[in-house]
Amino acid sequence: MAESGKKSLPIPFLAGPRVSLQPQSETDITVAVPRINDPEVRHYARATYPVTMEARKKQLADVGDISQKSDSIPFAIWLNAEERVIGDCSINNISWTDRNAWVGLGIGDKTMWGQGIAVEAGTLLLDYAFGELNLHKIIAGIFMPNKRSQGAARKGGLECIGILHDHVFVDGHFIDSCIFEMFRDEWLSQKDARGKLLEGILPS
Amino acid sequence: MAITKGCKGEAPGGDIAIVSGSELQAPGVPFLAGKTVSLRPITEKDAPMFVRWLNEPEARRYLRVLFPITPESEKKWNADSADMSTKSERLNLAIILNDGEQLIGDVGLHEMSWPDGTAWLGIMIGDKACWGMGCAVEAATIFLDYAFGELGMRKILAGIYEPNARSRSVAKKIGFTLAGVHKDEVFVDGKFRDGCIYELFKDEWLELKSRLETIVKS
Repeated sequence: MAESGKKSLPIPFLAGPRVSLQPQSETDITVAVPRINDPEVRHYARATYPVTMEARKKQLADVGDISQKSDSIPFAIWLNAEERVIGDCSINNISWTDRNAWVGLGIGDKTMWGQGIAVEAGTLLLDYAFGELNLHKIIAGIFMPNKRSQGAARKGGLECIGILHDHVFVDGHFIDSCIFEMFRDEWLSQKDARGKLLEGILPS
Repeated sequence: MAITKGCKGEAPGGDIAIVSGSELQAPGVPFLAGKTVSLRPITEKDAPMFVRWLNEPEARRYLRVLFPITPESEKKWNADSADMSTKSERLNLAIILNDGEQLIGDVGLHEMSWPDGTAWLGIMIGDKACWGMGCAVEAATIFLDYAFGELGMRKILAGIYEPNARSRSVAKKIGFTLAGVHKDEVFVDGKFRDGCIYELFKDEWLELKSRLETIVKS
């Protein structure tokens, strides 16, 4: 087990079978910064400019007290079995009047890719967005070549509603960006299936 | 400084003096010139006019101004946007009528991404007396020439709420194409309404312009 990111006191704000979402702390940032500067990780996470510890700490401080005054709610993704942080996710650009928001999610620990972790963490994030924050719709933007994230979004119940053509410059090319959406009604109708999905992963 | 009357001889401002902005430019030499409208930098003295327009129910409805705009917040916004350079993420210019240099609205780019060469277009004709006169199309045309031709932008996007048919028709006239529709995106007049995303590439813009010029010549 990697020592980096290990914490003595987990705070599972949102608990799932394999992962939990917890408030972000400065410790999480010291783990996240080297990961986000990794070319393979920052590639589609679109970290075009170098990320410093100071910048991330300031960002966290700027988020400040999270309440209905906030327009952004960040979480650390915690791997239950190994008691360490493996990524982060957030609800951003919250419009409390339109009751919609953008979601973002990244598994910074590459060894955890391809295990359905993003789907599980995303499910927890959506349950929170729809079930507790009472949002009407959530939106996500995913770059076209990023098939892994698109697969996770579809498994989570999001649908592509449009494509922004030649939208961002990555690796010397302009690439498309897909806009995904999911409504509260869809979340409600899929809730039972999603609960079973989570239960299925739970150890008996 | 010239004080002019409002559009079509009406003084929409009442107690508000309308500023010509001529302190920022030589008379008749705007930053970007068109046939009936021109674009010039925004001055502090424009703030009262913008405050009036942005708080007005009909205008703020689709501009999504949900909370009152105060003279202080408007001045701060202007001050924050005053230095325009490649460090800026937004760039706004005042739209003035060539006849009398009267302020009628503003046009600008926001969320400018220099590596991607993209930005979102925003345009407002605040003076309702000037609605339906093609001012928005002309102002946008001059401004897009600047965005593509001088700033080197590659793609301009525009987000317009579905019920705002007037703005959607302006976007179509300029050559924007619909890239997608955000369903139930905004809460307007007690209901969720859709949000339309439009795109316009530099190549498309240049082609459309050369076609228009050919039509005009023939």
